Amino acid sequence: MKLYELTFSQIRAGLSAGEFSSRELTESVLDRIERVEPALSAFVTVRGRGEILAEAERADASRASGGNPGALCGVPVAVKDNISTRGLATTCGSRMLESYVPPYDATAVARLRGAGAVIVGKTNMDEFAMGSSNENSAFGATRNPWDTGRVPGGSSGGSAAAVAAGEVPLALGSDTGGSVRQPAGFCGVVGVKPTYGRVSRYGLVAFASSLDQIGTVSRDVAGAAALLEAIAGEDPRDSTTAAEPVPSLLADTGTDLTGVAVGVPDEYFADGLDGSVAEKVSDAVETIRSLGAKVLTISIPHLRFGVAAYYLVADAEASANLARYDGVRYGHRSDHAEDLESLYRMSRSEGFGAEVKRRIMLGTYALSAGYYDQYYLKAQRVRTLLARDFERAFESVDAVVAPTSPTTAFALGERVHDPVSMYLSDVYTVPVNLAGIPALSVPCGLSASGLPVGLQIMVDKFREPVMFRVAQAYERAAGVDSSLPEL
Amino acid sequence: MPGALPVLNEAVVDSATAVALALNASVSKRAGFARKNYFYPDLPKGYQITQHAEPLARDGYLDVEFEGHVKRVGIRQVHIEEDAGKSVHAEHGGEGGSLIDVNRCGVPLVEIVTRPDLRDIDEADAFLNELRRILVSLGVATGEMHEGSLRFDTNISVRPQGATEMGTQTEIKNLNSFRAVRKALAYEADRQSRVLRDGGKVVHETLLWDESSERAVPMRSKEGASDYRYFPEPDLVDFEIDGRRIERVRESMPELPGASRRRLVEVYAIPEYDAFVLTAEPATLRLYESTVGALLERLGPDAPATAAKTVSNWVMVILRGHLNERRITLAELSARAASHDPTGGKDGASALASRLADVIALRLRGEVSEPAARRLFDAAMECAEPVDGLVEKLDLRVVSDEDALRSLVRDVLAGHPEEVARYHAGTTKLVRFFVGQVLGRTGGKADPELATRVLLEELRSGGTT
Repeated sequence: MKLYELTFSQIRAGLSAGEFSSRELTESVLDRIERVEPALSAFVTVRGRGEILAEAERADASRASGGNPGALCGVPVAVKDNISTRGLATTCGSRMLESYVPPYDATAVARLRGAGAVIVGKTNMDEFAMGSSNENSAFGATRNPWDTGRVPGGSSGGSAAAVAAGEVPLALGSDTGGSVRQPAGFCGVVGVKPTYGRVSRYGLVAFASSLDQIGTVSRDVAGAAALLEAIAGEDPRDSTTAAEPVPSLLADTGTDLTGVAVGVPDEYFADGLDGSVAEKVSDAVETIRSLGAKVLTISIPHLRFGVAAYYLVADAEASANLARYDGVRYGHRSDHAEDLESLYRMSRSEGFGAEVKRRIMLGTYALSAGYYDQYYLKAQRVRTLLARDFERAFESVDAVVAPTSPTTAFALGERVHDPVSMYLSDVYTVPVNLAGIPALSVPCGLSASGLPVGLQIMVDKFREPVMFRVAQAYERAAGVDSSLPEL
Repeated sequence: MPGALPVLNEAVVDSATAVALALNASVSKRAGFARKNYFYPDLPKGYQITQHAEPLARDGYLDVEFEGHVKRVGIRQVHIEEDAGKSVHAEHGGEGGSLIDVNRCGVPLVEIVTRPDLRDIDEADAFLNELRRILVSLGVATGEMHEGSLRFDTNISVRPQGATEMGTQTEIKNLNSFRAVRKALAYEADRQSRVLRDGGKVVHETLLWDESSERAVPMRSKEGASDYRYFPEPDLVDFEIDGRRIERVRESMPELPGASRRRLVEVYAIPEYDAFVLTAEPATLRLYESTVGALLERLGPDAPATAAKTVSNWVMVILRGHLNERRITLAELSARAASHDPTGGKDGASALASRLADVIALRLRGEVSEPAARRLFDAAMECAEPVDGLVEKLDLRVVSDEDALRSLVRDVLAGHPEEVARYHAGTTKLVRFFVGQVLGRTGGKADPELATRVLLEELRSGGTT
């Protein structure tokens, strides 16, 4: 077995036992990137080999000098390209920020560096995190490692593909409406969207501020827990972070789920759900039941309004968040502008891709005088109703389980000209963001056509430990094949 | 910067709460922020964080003393927002380009919105001046308009006499002085009146005051750009202002200028005008009261009833003149006085008050003349020497020796036979000339009253011996 094939649990054990060094692991990972990257385009930027290996060596030295190196010390990590990295280009998958290099680290990145993680590069994404397939990247679509004719999902498709292909064991993504969980499901890896306010958004380039949350991508549940523990916690630079202390997220509870009540919402198994996805998810629910959990049927009555409400709220916020890209201070500036008005218009016309423009127009419209009540405000009401649906559910269950997406990975180009069908692929993921609760997608096997299926586990705010417990118990019991796809 | 987030400055909440309380407004228990969206080069985010649906306080008023009566001006709301950059429309270099100073972007400010209650320019001026005094006394603004610490946007409309409906208003921005406010309101009232008289319609728009041409020029039409698409700011959480916080702010508030004025008139028996001037700046008020206190201590029971008025004259006229001549501020002079304080234990204000009281005490005891007292004060500000010693060192003690003065008077008259003749021919105003000569020869030390009396006696007795 090659080092790049190891899951985080195996890496942690190997590094602490001295079976291999961070340098050896990192070299293996970098070789893997070199070999498979041309077929995948999972990265926008990979840092120089020299500087990455120097960091790995420093991690080795710190480990050798004793003390108590953190769980992430010397572990290669990739970072989605909308999370600010000091001195390292942060493009957001956009021409607009093609040459933008942040002068500061996002809080999550600063915490990763503090924990000794080795940042290898920045992963590809849908432009400004707007998309569900990674086809909206200005730098070329990322491919799904399981079938390079298919999309990896999005918008954190680069992070999910990179982890799934063994280019890196851990990666950060961001999840505004499913952007970590959906690609994790499509690529057969673990993706976590934490409670809103659990992880600082400082340095995360904003798409929809009230929904955005940095999340994790990993091959195993243990990796997700370790990565989240490293980046979570209050940050004075982000007023929306919670003062809530960060507990140990993953106790070793084996596979016993006695005493855990799990709810299965009817609405998630209705029309539009792919048969092979339904089958795999139902199998997973049976496995969970067999581990001692009590399984109940529950209801999330407002699920069907989620996508509409989500696209109104998210795009309204985006229309303001993206106003700063005006060609004046940083980012793309048109060469053809003649006055202020045309500088704004042309810089934005040239710098933004079609989907971003569509979202800005939708959002601007939803906030306009005369339409605000009808769209934005009504969407906010739906949001409240959805949040209440979950509150009610969590009165009787500890976790809600459902499919992550209605289908497996679709073919490149299949939905790119039909935005509504693209938006509908988020139907099972957006309610979580609207409600502000955490959720995790864990692989639950391959479909008949050999594509990964994701099981989504949702819990109440700040109850991530329960989520990880269920996920890990399932992961162990199901004996999910952790071998990499053929590439 | 992509990824940057705003954080609420807690101090501005207290400042805005103090302003709201001073303006008799009701402070909301819960307040939140909104985004106001528009593109402008001085707005780097493309939106301004402000308060829209949930301002910090609403429905207040300010009573302004105006031409002998009290005018009540309604306050619609008091809210917090972030400042934008400052556009500098440079015309130098022939290119006429604009520069943007983004240093103040994101700095919090408190905005006060009045109701349309002001009826003319003088009322507006009186209101703004009173508001400025309140803000300065609260320590919320320095009141230095040229620094942008206090800025006004005015809205004005005109209507035919007797009309009950208000006319269409225009907003004038970029007013950087009280003078500019007066000029701009006069300009715009006149312009609107002419538009209406010519049968036209006033357009609802924002105008920019151009200081150099003293004209208001249209900035952007409000009709086209009035949709700011406000929505709740998701990067900031709503904040609560509980009763305890309001009480804490209330307790830390100083006496407001109106109350200070009433107290000065009552306690020190000084004219209202003096009280007005002395309360314009908190530092001036502090200096005045400390000086009166120190002076009464020095004079004891002999203090004349007018002592407080004398101090008022000194602070308003002599001290002000000293500052103006040297182009320094009261704070700078206070700091200098503190550095001269031998005990080293006094703060600037009390060190200055103490020295000022020393000088005035000498003057009120008749030990130095008025001109000598002024010289003494100037000198006392430059050194650390005790004022008593300084009088001797500079030889400023009043010449009250009548015989010595009489011989000096005779010398002067003898030296100016022509003027004496003209005096006797009826040019009696020459008395002032002779007194000046006498005072000049004593280096200002002679008691002018005594000198005048002796001089008149000598002139009456023929001026020669």
